Amino acid sequence: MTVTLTNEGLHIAGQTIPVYAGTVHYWRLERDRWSDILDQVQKLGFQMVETYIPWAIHETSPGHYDWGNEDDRKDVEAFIKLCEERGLWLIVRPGPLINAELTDFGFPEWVLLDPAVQAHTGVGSIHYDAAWGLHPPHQFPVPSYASEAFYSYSSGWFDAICPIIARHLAPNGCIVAVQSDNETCYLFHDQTYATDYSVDSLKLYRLFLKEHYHDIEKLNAAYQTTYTDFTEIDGPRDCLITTHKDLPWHLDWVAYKEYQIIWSVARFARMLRERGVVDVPIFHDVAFQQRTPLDVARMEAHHDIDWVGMNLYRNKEGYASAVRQTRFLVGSTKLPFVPEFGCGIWSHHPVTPRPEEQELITLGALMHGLKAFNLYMLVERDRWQGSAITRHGTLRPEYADFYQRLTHFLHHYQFWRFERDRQALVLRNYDLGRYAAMTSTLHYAHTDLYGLPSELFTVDVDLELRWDAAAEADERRTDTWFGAVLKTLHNSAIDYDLADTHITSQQLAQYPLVLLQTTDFMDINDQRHILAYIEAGGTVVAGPGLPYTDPTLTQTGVLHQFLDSPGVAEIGAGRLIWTTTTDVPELINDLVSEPAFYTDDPAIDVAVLRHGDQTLLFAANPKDRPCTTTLHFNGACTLHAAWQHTQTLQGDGLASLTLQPYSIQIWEVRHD
Amino acid sequence: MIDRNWDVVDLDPLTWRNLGRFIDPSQYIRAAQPGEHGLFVLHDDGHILRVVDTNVGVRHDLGITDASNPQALAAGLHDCNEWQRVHVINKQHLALVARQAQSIEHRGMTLDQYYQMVGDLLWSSQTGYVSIPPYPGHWNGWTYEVITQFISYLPETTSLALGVFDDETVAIGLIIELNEGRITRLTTFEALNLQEQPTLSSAFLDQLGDALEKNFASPSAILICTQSVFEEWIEATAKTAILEQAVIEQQAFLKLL
Repeated sequence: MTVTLTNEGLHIAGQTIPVYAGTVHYWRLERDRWSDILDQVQKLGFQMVETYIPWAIHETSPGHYDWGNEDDRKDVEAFIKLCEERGLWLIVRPGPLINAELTDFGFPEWVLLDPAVQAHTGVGSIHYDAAWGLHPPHQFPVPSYASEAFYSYSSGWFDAICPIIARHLAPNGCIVAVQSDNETCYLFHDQTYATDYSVDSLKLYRLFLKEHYHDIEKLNAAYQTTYTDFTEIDGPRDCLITTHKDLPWHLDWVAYKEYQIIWSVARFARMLRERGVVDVPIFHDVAFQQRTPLDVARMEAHHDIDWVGMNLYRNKEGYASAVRQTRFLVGSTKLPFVPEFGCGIWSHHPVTPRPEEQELITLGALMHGLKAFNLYMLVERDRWQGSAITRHGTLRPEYADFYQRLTHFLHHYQFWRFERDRQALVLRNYDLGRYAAMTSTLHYAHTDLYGLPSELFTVDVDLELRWDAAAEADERRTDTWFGAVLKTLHNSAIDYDLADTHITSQQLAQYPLVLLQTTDFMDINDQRHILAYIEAGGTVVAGPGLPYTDPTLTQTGVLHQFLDSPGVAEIGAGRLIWTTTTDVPELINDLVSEPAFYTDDPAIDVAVLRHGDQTLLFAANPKDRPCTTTLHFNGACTLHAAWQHTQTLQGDGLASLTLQPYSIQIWEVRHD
Repeated sequence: MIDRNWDVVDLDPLTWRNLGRFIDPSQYIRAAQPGEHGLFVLHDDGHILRVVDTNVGVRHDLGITDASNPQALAAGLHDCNEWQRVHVINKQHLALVARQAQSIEHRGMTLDQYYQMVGDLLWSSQTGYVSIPPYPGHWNGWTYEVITQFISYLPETTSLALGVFDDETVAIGLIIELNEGRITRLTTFEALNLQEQPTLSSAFLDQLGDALEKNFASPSAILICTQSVFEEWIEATAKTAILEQAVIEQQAFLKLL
């Protein structure tokens, strides 16, 4: 591959190019403004831009393409050449789905109106995107990503656009990465039993079952059924679990929903490559989901998909969740990437972010390990607001100022080379997410509009489990084992990453300590994976239970053979420690060393990043009130201000620190 | 126009931030109010599935065993005076609403029509979703009928503008262009490139009218007012009286053409 991924960015023709990009939608900007707009992009310090290439905008009627001969804004190749002339790198996202706040999400209308393309709900209707897509004037029928007709139409689009992309691939051209589809996940109808029960989807579901079970008798043994052929099987349309015998049927449907997404993204990636889009990374962007039906680790491990990122849009109140998502990206992917990092917001969003909020969230993500981002949208356009550059090519100074300072900071320090001081990895149990998905209900369109409490969307299931899987799966709770782990790490200022039990061996091997969320059940192969990590020298702290079975509650567990009650087992070169929720704080504090920098106020978020002998210290106050606290460190230090509104500090072991509400300060650390 | 349906451009971020609260369609449909202490009883044609108290979560202690008479059940529970609102919801009704709404025949509906239909389907049944107190059928006195009736009085092609002043700052500067009763362009005062700072005055009302005339379809209505008048107008039942009084007090300036 000519362009390859590293843990710092993209490796192109012998050099590492950091992925700090911004989105410019050429087709929404007057052609005579393109040049001035790209001038502004470069003045703000960006060397890479990104654009969707919208199917419906170019294919204006079946088989008829406008590449600028009718509307000069649609001359995508001219835009690409303009980037090349200016030495700008370019990421392109040709869909077929793009959203982009376009009517019909960028799909041609005739494609969506073909009944063979349409997805079907569990209640026997088509799907509309209305509840999520406030893109007037019309709601549109959601396509099925299992529909062969859909792939046939998409092939036509790729036949048209891929030769243009292929002509401009790096290093000879400017295109350095290409996205396969966009936020693929049932057009936001991601609830387990919401969709997709179309003919083609059920056909793919049966194929999935056949791949898994190989012959019908094995499935019958698991399901305790008497099917004669896979074609007789229908997917569950709601949670109908009364005993553990019902689990395989439901769990397989949950797994199928994951399978369809990866299968589809991989298929589009292959379709791109078959048309000459080769030798650059093909990536995908997950909208926001960190568990089923999105399986980030397995998607990135798929041989057709090089790289997976997750989009991030947050206001200041969303700081904690932005940090959690960043930790998850760092723990789960090769190059932590946000393909859509909120820079402004779509016009139907209820809260336009202020400039200081964009600064808080962006720096908050970077201090927790974000390596690559694309500011969506760096340049404003139809149905978007609050960007740094207007569609006319002028700056919005109140927004642009931060991005100018940011690019200066990133390049001054070569920030992409820095690594965080992280001491542990927290592993979510992927099967608990599946359990929560499997036991959910009310997957009907528009129920999100009625103001119903979340507890109404869960079914009471009594499987005589020893530990409360539903509670442990609920990450909003702080009284669980998982909640206790995160609270302890936070209160002790211990930096950590987050992933799930589908993590690759390579990722897992980076961490000396793993905190593993486990209850009664866990996939047998995932348990073996954890066991291999321990045998190789890793330490695993597990709880609140230790799995003694697989998720169907039929096979015997792997980890349970070493411990039958909380305690410690030496296994190979490593250790397995089973601990209860109550004992979590003491144990973690025993296992990890005191952080190099911490404050007396646990609300202040501190991160240390190092590269060679350079150290950067970040402190964030994500609260709505000012905070004065004491910063502790070893020995005599001078903390030189590396960011606006940051005071240089000096002290021997401690220094007084004041942070304004919702603000971040950055220092370069020098030991005296 | 790059999109065949409408343009939403040049959105000054402050205006859009202040308008954001009106965008969520849920608030116009739901009976449940944010922060309200509610009890939700979910059933399947009378068979109880789950009971959730918004303050304490799932409740198994209320002895609710049957919802075959949902109105009586809701009334009885509400009489306990423990909850501000009681909801008794048939799951089959929610499924029916979803199935009926998501019909291909509704593809031609505008989104406002579509959401109005969803609300109508939800509340049309006497027993499908019972709320006590009942769903009011309006939002702060605003109804879909009142708004569509207002639009029906407008010329085929026209524009509307709203300016809301927070002291001397334009908190909202909204311009809407309509064609055949449908919004085709949505923008803010930013699009006008005004040379002078807008003020809450009759002079600015005239200036705005001229600017609209020059850059947009001929305006039908322009309202500029203070933030407090705007809030009162949104929330009060007697909306016309609020504006009339504000105009007298020069807290609002209104041009109807």
